[in-house]
Amino acid sequence: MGEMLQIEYRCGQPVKHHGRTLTPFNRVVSLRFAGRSFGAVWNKPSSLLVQQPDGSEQILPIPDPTRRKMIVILASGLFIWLIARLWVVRRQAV
Amino acid sequence: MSDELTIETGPAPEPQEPSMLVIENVMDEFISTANIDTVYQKPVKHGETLIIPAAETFAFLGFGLGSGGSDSAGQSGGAGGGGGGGGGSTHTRPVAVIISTPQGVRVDPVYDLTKVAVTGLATVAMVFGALARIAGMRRKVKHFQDEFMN
Repeated sequence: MGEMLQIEYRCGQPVKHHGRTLTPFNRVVSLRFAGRSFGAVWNKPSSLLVQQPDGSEQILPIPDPTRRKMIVILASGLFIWLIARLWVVRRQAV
Repeated sequence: MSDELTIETGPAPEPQEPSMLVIENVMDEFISTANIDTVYQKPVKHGETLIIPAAETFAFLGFGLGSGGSDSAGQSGGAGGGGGGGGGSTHTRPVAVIISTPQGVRVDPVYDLTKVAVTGLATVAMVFGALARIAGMRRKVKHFQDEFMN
């Protein structure tokens, strides 16, 4: 399983701008199946580390509103379907 | 008293076919392409502002191999053959833009309305389809009850 599914965080090349250093991070999910005859890689930006000239650090998360809204829509659809199904099962039982 | 070291040897590993080795190498290279450069593009400088586009990538790759032979009795030499194929795809979607100005750093998310709308329409269609099926099932049950119970 450890070799099949790997989740790791990687750090990119720091970029200097106006005295501050920006270091991007990403999350890599790699998947291998069936004797390595199938593989998939999902590479997603996760956060940004901002180091100010005075030494203070700040981590900015990289939000993905599109993905969040898609998940909410799909979950709502599933919820409505479940409620309808439960309602029908109850009606049939009565 | 003597220390004995016993090494148990299992069966020798079967030599892998060259084609499988090629596939494994391609797969290893494919997995290793998941470097950070595919997510964060080269920074673009515009005046005092620095812009770093960030994107999400999803890629998959698959292979298949097959071979066969003829063992018919009466044939002097068995005929055989083999073949293989593979395919893959890569999808990239912009997620956010990192903007660094003299005032500060901010992350502006990229909102893909088309993707959300398509997901919404597909979900509505799916839910309506499921509800229609449930309604159809109820109608059938009612018809059955009317016909055979009364």
